[in-house]
Amino acid sequence: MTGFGYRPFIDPIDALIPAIHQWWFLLLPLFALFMAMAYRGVKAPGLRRYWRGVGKLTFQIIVGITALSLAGHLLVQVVVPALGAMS
Amino acid sequence: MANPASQANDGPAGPPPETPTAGVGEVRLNPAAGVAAMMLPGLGHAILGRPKRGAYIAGGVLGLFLMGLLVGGIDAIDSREDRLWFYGQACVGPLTFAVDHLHQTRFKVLDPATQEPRTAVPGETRSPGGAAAPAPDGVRPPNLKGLGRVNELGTLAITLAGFMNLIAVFDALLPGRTLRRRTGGGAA
Repeated sequence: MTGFGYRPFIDPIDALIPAIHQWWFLLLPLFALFMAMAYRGVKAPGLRRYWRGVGKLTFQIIVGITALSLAGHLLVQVVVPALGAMS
Repeated sequence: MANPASQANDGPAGPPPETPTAGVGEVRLNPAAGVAAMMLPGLGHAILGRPKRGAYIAGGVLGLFLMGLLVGGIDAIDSREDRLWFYGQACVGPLTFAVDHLHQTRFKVLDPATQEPRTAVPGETRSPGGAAAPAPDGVRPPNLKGLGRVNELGTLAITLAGFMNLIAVFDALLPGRTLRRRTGGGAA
């Protein structure tokens, strides 16, 4: 079922956007933003530069997750096959 | 001793909200704020006199929670089928229990063979007694089962919301510790 049958917050979003299974990683910035909002809300010394801190932390989360995924890709696609070829 | 530096940015004027009663370095326990933070994200900080900070925390935690529900649907919260995840999600507070209760009692159907609750499959609907029944044409199941990435992401986002709220709960519960950190008056 797609499109008009979608009921927000009840049905999963792939009922509306089936391509989400390929493009799921585009949700990362939004998740990172909300995480940064909550974390900086607790940890920020003052709230004057709150949004700047949120932006910075959001960026750091996205870069960190991207780096981890690249490292995982290299490990699985390059390092492990190379080790397998050596043995 | 009041701490003007930390109060200046945190909330409206009035009684100094972050003023510790027994010195900056002392760790105080504020059970009321901790319980309030557990009841509703951000409420603990609002009770401590820091409504703006509470609003930011609520925005982050509830944003994650609603994004998880939007992506994974109501099936992203399931205390029966995803018990371990539910423990993390429960840290958001009563909201999680309310959604789970709704899911278990208003959306799931009773399997005719096992009498166990489960998500209805396409072609099924929920009878008034809660049992699975064949659906007439055009009638959809109460909700669709989340599968693959969307289920993973929805469940993960709500669990993350729970963990973020847990940080906020401890921060509200031990405001003296936070104040000491913010003023540079001690470890952590």
